[in-house]
Amino acid sequence: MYLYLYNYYSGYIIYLFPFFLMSFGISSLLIGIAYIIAYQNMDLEKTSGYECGFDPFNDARDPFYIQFYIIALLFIIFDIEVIFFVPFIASLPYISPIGYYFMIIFILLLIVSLYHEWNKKCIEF
Amino acid sequence: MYRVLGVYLSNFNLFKYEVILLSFLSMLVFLLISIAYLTLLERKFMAAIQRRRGPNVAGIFGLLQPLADGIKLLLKETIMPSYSNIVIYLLAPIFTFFCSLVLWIILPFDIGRSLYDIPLGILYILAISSLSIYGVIFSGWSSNSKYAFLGGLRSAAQMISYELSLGIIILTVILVSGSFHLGGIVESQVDVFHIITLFPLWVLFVVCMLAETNRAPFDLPEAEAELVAGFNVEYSSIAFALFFLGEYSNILFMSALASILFLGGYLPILSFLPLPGLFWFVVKCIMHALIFIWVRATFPRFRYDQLMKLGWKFLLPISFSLLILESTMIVIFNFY
Repeated sequence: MYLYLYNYYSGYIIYLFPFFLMSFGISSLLIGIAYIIAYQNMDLEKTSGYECGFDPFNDARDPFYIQFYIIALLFIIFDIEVIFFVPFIASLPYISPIGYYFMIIFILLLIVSLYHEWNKKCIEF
Repeated sequence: MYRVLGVYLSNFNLFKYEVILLSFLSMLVFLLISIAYLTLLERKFMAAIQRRRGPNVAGIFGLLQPLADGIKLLLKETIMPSYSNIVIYLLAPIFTFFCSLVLWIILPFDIGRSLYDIPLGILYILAISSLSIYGVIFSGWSSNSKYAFLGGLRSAAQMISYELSLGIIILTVILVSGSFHLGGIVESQVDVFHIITLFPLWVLFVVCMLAETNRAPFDLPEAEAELVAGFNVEYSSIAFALFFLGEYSNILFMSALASILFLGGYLPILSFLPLPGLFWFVVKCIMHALIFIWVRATFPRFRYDQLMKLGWKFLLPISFSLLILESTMIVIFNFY
């Protein structure tokens, strides 16, 4: 439907690799330059962790609120299901109505599961 | 001149390393300049809203202010907290800036004019923007400070919550335009822009892009009263500047993506004017970037539970139902 000319090399993800390398290199280089040209004068107070005027009592890797973990689990489930939409969307013109009905059932199941989690108070903060 | 340059650029041989280096460096330089002047635009625009003057001392109209800020950050000393994990601590800003740079490679600035054109550009964007969460988590965890840790957790939870809705909205736009290629999405809007046909999706997209870039009114990680600056409290010097540049680069990128998905990218708004596609693209980008600034100057910050409620209980069901609606309409009317 849409006439669009690709470059000869387009489509080969491997040719993105030099760009990746250079992006990473330039970011590292900036930090290196700043470390070299700025005057470094460290002492114990400067390198201690940031607190409101006192030394930090203990390590900051404390247990944290369980809700963040539940949100992360929910995200994994829903994100995989978003990935399932990608082939559906790419092939919608070619599949028969049966495929469309199955996909609608799948999305409805997803919405029902979202409301189930809502009902179980998984997304309350 | 413009056309000659265009023909030369379209015949790039990507095997030549000097061509790769030159194109990358030109992208980097112009990106850094546009980020610098986006910060000045933000300060001037907010000053105008709040009836102040904004920066006006360094250079005429404060035009040298971003350069002065950059040089000041470059000359500060790099502080590495003694309790932190130094490798991950230094990797986090590098990774954040890396993710925000790498996104720009595939963006079409004009017809067929991008640094590297891949047919599945949208999937690439989704993948890289998911990776950028790692920068936040790395910095929050490795700083070994309570403010940074809590800020990193909040920020990561916020970004993953809104990424779901963002992904579904983008997929719905792909469903309507029928192409995973960014240029193809633009070409599908020759007759009518998607913002007219898919206006509710555009509104949802704007909300999601505000939350995804951690901007006001969703700037919970840098809620000054509770968490001093969020995940980047411990950073100084250029390491902080890389987070800052990454954030503003993401703002510009999200504006560019919104204008490609909904406003027709490089397609002209007034087609009788003899202007290049790049001009219209830049105009649409700046319009979206101004939305960011306008919202920041206008709205108060959300509470954290309200933020999560908005993401999971409103945006997600609405975007699911819009996906069902659009696919049903396409099957019934057989648009293809």
